[in-house]
Amino acid sequence: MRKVGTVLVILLAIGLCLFSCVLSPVTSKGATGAIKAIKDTMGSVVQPHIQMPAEFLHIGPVRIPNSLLGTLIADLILIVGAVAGTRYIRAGRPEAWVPRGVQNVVEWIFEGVSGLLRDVLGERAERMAPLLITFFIFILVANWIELFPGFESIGIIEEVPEGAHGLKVVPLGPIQMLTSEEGHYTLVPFLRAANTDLNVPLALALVSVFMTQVYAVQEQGWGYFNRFINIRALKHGGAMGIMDFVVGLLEGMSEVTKIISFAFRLFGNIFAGMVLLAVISSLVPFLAPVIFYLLEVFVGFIQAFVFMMLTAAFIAVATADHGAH
Amino acid sequence: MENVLGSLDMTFWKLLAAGLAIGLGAIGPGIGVGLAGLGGTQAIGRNPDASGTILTNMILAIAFAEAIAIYALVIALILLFVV
Repeated sequence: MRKVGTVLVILLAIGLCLFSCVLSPVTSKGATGAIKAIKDTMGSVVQPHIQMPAEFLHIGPVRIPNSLLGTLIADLILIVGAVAGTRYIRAGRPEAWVPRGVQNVVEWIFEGVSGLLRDVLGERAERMAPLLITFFIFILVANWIELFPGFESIGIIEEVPEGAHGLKVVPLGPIQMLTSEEGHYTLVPFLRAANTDLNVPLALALVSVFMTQVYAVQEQGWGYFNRFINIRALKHGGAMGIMDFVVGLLEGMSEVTKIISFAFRLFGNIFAGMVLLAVISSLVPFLAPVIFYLLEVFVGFIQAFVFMMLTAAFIAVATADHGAH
Repeated sequence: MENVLGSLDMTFWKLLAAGLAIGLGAIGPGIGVGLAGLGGTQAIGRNPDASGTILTNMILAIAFAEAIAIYALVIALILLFVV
């Protein structure tokens, strides 16, 4: 009986895929040259509108970037989760000893992640865990809320400035809908995932690198900066000392590149995911996007994990005592 | 063919350059990330007890390899949106 069900599901999937291929009107108009055919095809498929900087919502005189709203929603989810998860613990009630519901989830995440951090940082993890776990859960939630319907698809329809690319609008009951035809309107979505706006990953990267320096100074004192400007090696090291000095300067440079690679790794992955979903949804509207949604769930998790683990690893390297020089 | 090439404007070259930048720039990091993953999984297979340390170092190595692809991505984005 189970086998029949499986076969039915597979048949249904294949049927829907074929159906969606028929629905997306790919019509090449005879042999009028390859370029013409491509142009025709591109014209009839709904092309996704992709914009790198965040769109601005105009509310009275204020301009609010829609990625800010996405960030605030992620914050709200985290705050509500934290408050609900620690309710019994803060009240000192005996129910807290046997965690249930949200508290269970919060404890599970916290214990799993801090176990990983203890592997990397040793006993120092105790002090740095709050920052690192915050990185992890914030990036995770901010990445995952992008996958909810309504993100980047519901918003205000505005007129485009003269000369810019716009689309035509059709009324659909009380609301309006953009079509694929040329026109004078564009969509300004209400919500956009935080990490598809370069400012948010850049801010996270700055916090990460700055706090790495702070922790290093706390562990080793101001002598930590000898690593970058190595006067001592220059004085006493001879020819190899000059080498050590240059290596120190290069290490200082790598702190700057760390910011760039942190910011663009997160931004690039999540923005590319957004573009991928938009393109796939426009090409094959049924079923195919589901696979890529699953992929995006995975990518969102991996990026959050990598951001936290890299910060932890850099902190571990920076706070490790280099022995008495 | 000459007619087609002659009618192409800056946008075409920009798009081509951006595509080539990220496409070619992703080859090396792809191989690098694959090698790091290979080494990591083999090491975990041989010594499962050390998987925590190996995982951390593997992710670190992958991140350094991936950084090259990120520079290519930056160039591609600059070509697309800034130039």
